[in-house]
Amino acid sequence: MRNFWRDIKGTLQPFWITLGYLFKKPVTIQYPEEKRTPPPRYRARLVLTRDPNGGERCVACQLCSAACPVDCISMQAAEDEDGRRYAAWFRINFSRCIFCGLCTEACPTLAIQTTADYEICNREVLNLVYEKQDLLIESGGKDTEYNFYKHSGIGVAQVRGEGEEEHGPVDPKSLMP
Amino acid sequence: MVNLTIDGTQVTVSKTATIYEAAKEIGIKIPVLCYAKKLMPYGACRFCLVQVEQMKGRLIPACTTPVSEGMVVTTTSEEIEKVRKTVMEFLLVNHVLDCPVCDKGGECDLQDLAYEFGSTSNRFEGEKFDLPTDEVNPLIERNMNRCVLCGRCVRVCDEVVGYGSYSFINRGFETKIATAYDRGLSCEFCGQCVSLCPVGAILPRPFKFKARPWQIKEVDSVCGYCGNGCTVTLGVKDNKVETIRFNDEIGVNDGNLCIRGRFGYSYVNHEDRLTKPLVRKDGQLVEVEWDEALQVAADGLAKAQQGQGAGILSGARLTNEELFMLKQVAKTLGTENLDNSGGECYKGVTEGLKETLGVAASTGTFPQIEHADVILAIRSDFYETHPVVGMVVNQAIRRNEAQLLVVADKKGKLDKLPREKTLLSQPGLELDVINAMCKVLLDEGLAKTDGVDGVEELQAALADFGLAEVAKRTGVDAAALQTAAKQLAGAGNAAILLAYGLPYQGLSTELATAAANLAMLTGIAGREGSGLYLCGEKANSQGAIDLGILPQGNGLGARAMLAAAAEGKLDALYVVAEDPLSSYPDRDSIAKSLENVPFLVVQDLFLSPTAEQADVVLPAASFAEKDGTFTNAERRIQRVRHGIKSPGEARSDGAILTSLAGKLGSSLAFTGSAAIFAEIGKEVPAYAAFNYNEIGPQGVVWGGETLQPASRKLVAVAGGVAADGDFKLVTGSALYHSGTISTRAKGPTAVLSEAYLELCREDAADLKVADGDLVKVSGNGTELKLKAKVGNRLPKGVVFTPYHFAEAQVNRLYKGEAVIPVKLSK
Repeated sequence: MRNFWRDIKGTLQPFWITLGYLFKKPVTIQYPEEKRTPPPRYRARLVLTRDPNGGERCVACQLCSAACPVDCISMQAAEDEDGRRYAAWFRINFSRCIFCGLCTEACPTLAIQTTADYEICNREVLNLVYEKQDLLIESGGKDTEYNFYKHSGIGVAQVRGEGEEEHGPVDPKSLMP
Repeated sequence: MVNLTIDGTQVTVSKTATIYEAAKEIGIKIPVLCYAKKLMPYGACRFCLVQVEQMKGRLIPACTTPVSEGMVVTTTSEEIEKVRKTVMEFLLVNHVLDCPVCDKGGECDLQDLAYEFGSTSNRFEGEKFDLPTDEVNPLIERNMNRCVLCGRCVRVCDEVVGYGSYSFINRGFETKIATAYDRGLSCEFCGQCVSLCPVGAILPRPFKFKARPWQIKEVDSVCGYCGNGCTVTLGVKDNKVETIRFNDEIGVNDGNLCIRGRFGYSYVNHEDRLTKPLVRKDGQLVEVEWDEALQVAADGLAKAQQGQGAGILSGARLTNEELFMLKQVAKTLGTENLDNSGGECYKGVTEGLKETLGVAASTGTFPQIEHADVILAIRSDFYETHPVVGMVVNQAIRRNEAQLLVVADKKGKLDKLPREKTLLSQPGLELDVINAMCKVLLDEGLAKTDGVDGVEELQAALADFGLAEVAKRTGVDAAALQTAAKQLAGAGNAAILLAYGLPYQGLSTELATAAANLAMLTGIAGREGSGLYLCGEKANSQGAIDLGILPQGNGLGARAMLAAAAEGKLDALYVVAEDPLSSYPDRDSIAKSLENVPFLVVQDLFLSPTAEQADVVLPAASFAEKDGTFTNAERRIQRVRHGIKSPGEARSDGAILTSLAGKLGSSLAFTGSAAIFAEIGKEVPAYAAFNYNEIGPQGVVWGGETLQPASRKLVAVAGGVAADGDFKLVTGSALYHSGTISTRAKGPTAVLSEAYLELCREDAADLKVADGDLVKVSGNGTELKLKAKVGNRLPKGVVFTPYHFAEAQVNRLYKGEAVIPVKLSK
C-alpha cells in the first residue's frame, strides 16, 4: 500500500514540475538567429594585437608554440631593419586548437590574446589554418597600454634608458674627477 | 685522495679537485655562471658560494676552493639562498629584460637561475647601459648590454684558443668586455666565445632568430672537414642543419671547434647541391633516373677495363664503410688503379713512417699533447690545417708550461703563443733543419740509439748537416737549433707535429722520414705519453690509408693515373668526392687528363669543375646525411651519424657504390654500416677489435693510446734544394678553409671569399703594392693575378697563397713542388 501512494506521487510530481516551467522564460537560444554575448574573458579565437604605437606586439619568441599542448602554433622569427624581432609568418591551426589559452599566459609581450569570437566553424578544414594577416588586429586587445619594448630596456622602440622603469644610460666619463 | 663531507654525504676526490667538482661528482648541483669545465677556476660570478664548517663566518666560492681533508661543506642553507638571490638581483640591475627577443632564451644560464631563485623583483635600481652591438663581422654578434661579466669569453680566447681577442675594460659599474681599442671583433672566428657565453651577449649571427633550443634536434657526429675528428653536434630543424650546437659534455675535443667546424656547416644546405644523376647526351649533361645513370657508369667502366683499363680516384671524406665498398667496386671491376686524395701528400705516412717505424699512422693521441713538455711543430701551418690540435698545443703551453718549437718557412698563429721558439728557415729547407737536429743528437751523444737500426749510415749521410752549414743554408740560428734539439731530447714527454695535405705535396715523404728519424733518436716514437703526429688534411685521411685505398699491386697512383689519362693510356676514370681540377697540383695537365680520358664518372655533392667535364655525374650525400665511421689523425674511430635527409634523389656514397658494384656483377650486399664495419675487421686487423655499435662518444683508438713502432730503422734523407728567383711562393691552407668544399659554406667564405697573395710589408713597399691591389704572379710558365694581402707573417722574399679557391686557379702555378720561384709585378 505504501508503494501505491509513492507511485502516484512519482507519476504526478514530474507533471507538476513541467507545468511550472511552462510559465517560465525558456533558456534555449535560437542560434544562429539569436546570439548570446559571451563574458569578456571567454576563450575563443586567438588574435595578435598591436602595441599603442601600432607596431606588432609579437616578437616570435616561440613561447606560445612551446606552451601549446596540441602544437597548433608555428612561426618563423625575422629581423626588421631597425633591429626589431618580428614574425615573418605566424600560423595557428584552429582545427587543432583546443582554446585552452595557455599560449596567452605564456606570451611575454601580450601579443597573443583570446577573443570572444567563437564563430569559426568551417566545412573545409584547411580554411581553419589562420595566417598572420588573418590573426593580426588593429588594436591592443585587453591591455591597450602595454608596450614590451618600453619595459625591456632595449633601444628599439625608444632610446635606451628612456623606457618605463628605466634610468638613463651612463656616461662613464661623467664619473671622472 | 681527499675525504670530505658535502651536505652530509661522504665523498673522496683527488686533492686537485675543487669543492664544486667534488659536489658534482656526487650529483649535488651548485649554481654557477662563470665556471666552465675546460677553463681554469675564476670565481667571478659568486653564485657558487657555500658554507664550510672550518671556515666559519664567511661564504666560500666552491669553484675556486680546493678540497681539503675533513672539510664539511653545506651547499644550501637559508643564508646561502639569500646571498645567491642578492647576487642575482645585482646582476639584474643592469640586465635588459629582452628574453623574448634574445636568441639565448631557453638555454640561458642567467634565465635558468633567475627562474630557479624565483627572482621577480629587484630591491636595487640602476642605470641601463647603452652599449652599441658589435655586428661588424659576419659570424659573431656581441651585445654587451646582456653581458654578466663572467669572463668566460675572455678566458677561453686566452686559455684555449690563444688568440686573446677580449679583455675587461673600465672599472666598477662601467666594466665591460671589449676588443683592442674597443673596435669590432676581428679574429679567427672559431666561435669558442659563442659556445661559452652563458647569456645572450655573444651569439652566432648565421643562427640569428632561426629557432629556439627546444625545437632543435641534436645529432652527435664528427666534423667532415679536417683530420682532427672533432665531435660536432648538429642542430637540426625541419630537415636542415641550422647550427652546430655547443657541447663540451661528450666527445673528444672538449667542445672546442674552429671556424670550419662551427660555422662551415652550411654547404650541406647549399642550393647548388646535386639532386639528380646526370648523364652526358649529345654533349650536354641531362638529368636521368638513377638506374640509367648507374647502368651507363657501370657499362662505361667495364668497357674501359676491357680496353686500356679504368682508374678510381677517391677523396678522403668518405666513411670507412664507403671506402670499403669502393675497394669492392675496384675488385669487381678488376682494376688495380686505385688511390685516395693527393696521391703524393700522404706518402709521408705510407712510405716515410712505414719504412722507418713500420707503422702507417700517428703514434700518439691528441690529449697526450696537452701533457707534453716539448712540442715540435714542423711548418707553422699546422695550426691552419688542424686548429683544434693547435688549441691543445696552446693549453699545453699555458697550463703545463710546455716549450713549443716551430720549424717553418713563415710565421703563423703558433708563433704568437708564449714559450715559443721559431726556427725560421728558407722555404723548402725545413728538412735540413730536422736533419741538423738529428746530427746534433748523434754528435753530442744525446741520441737514444738502443734498438735503432742504421745509426752509422745516418751519421755518415748527415755529414753535410753540420750546425754552421745548415745555419748558413737555411738562415736558422745555429745556437737556437742546437738548443732546440737538446730540449727535444731532454723532454720527458714530447710531441712532433706535421700535417700533410694537397697543398703540401713537395717533400712530404722526406719530411716525414726526417721527423721519424728525429722521433727515434729522441725516443719519442713508442714512448708512453709522447708521439709523432702526422695529421691528414681530410676527415678520413687515416681511414683511407688504413683501408688501403692505395695503388694495388702494380696499379697506378693518383698522379700516374692522371698522367696516363693525359697520354690517352687510360680509358676511364671514376672520381669520387674529389675535385682534382680545382685542388690537385698542375691544373693544366689535369685539364688535359680529363679531356683525354674517354669516359669520366664523377661522384660529388656539387657540379664541381671536374664534374662539369664528366660523362656521368652521381649526386652524393654530405657527412651530415650518412652513417658510418671516420678514423681521425690520431687513429680514433668515431661514429658519424646522419642528421638530415639528402636533397632530392642524392644518395650516400655507400649506397651508390653498393648499387654500382651490383651493376658490375658483384653479389656483395650488406645490411648496413655495422655489417660492413664487421667485414672491414676481417681485412684490417686493427679494426677487428671493435664493434660498430659499441663505439661510444669518445670513439675508439686502434693500436692503443701509444702505438708501438713495428721497426726502428733510421733512413737518411737528402736535404731540400733552395729555390732561386726573386720571390719564393709557398702554397698551403688558410685557417678559415679546408679543402675546396668549405668555399661553398657561407661562414668561412664570409670571412675569406677569394684567394690572395700574402707578402711582407718590406716586399710590398718595394713593389709599391698596397693591401687589396692586384699583383701579377708569374712562374712555372703561367701568370696569375691575385689580390695582395700585406702582413708581417712572412719573411722577406717569401710569398704565400692558399689553394682552396677554384676560380683563382692557383694550382696552375703550383705543380707539386715545395717552393715555386716566382716573379711579382704590379
